[in-house]
Amino acid sequence: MTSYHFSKFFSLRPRTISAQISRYVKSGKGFTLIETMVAISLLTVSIVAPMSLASQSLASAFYARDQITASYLAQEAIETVRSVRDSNILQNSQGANVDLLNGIPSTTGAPFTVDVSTSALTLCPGGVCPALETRAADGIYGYSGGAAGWSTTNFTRVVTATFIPGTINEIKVVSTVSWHTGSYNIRSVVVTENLYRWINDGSGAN
Amino acid sequence: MKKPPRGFTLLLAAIVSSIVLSLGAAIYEIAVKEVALSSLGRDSQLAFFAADTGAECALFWDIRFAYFATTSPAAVVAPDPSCDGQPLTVSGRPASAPYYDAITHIYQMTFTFAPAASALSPAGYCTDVTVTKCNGVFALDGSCTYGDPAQVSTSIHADGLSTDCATRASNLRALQRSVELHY
Repeated sequence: MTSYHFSKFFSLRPRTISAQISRYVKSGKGFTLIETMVAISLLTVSIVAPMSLASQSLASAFYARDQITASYLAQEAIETVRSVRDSNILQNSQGANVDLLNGIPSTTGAPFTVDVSTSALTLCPGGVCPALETRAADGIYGYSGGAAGWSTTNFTRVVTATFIPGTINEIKVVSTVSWHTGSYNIRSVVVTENLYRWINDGSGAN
Repeated sequence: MKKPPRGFTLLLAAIVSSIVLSLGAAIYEIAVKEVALSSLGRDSQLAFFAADTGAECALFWDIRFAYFATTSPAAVVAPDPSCDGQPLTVSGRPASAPYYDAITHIYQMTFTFAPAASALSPAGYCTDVTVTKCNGVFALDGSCTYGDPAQVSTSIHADGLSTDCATRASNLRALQRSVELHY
């Protein structure tokens, strides 16, 4: 019965199709189960495919947004460490004997945080750096320890500074910003720069 | 009485699904472009810091150890010159006096190294550094005007690439940022 209807309905002779349909409809019979299933599955595919495409696209858009934020956060930390070094260069040029790397919490790779809202470079307690927070008033990222007006973000920034092996005047600053977008794995942006003691400072290192 | 039109449901289904599909495709297109754009922004920073590392390295070896000096350029300093732990292999250094070109009054040295080799980027990035010494002062167009009294001017030009040195020619997404120092 079912196959009979099906083959009649999908007959390949175009001239007779409309006649068949009208006969079919006039006969008062409804769609068969299989016809209904085919119709539903076609509709489902045609709706679900674009929907999943759109949701994937939204996830990618969030990833793109976060990656831009993360790369600027990484740059910010490198530039802060660099500004510490450069202030020491200025102090040396004013006659003070200051180690150019003075003010960098660790040059042996211990992770530290960089807070641009207070210009504080702080070693991470237990080697685990807290998540960045943002101040609602101006959108600046920093660490408040849960103060009012600040909210925790998705981003965690870990900064390390290590001497290049065999050198005493060259440190590699690595700024790693990691975050997770929705249910995805943790993503990260890593920016590195090497800083040099390019003037003779008070460190005694030659 | 007029008969209701037939086949309207099919038309409606086709219209709805084509609208939804084109919306999905449009959103997808935008998202792909956004990801490409943000990745370019990230790579641009990697290239910039590669260039800056190269410029600082040349500055360090020139200021602290006169490694690119004019008077005794072949003098090797201890410890061995290196950038990011990689030995400096400088090309273009004049072997003997006179070091400056008789016409342009300059000499130029170049070196290439791959900063920031790490677990994340095993091959590192790529930096080309050119150190130009001018027996006089640099003009605005970069040419050297012979100076009297004698004065040596230095220009350090560093190009950083967001790719490693081996694939720089073939990588279509390679970005370059440059840093230039004059003193």
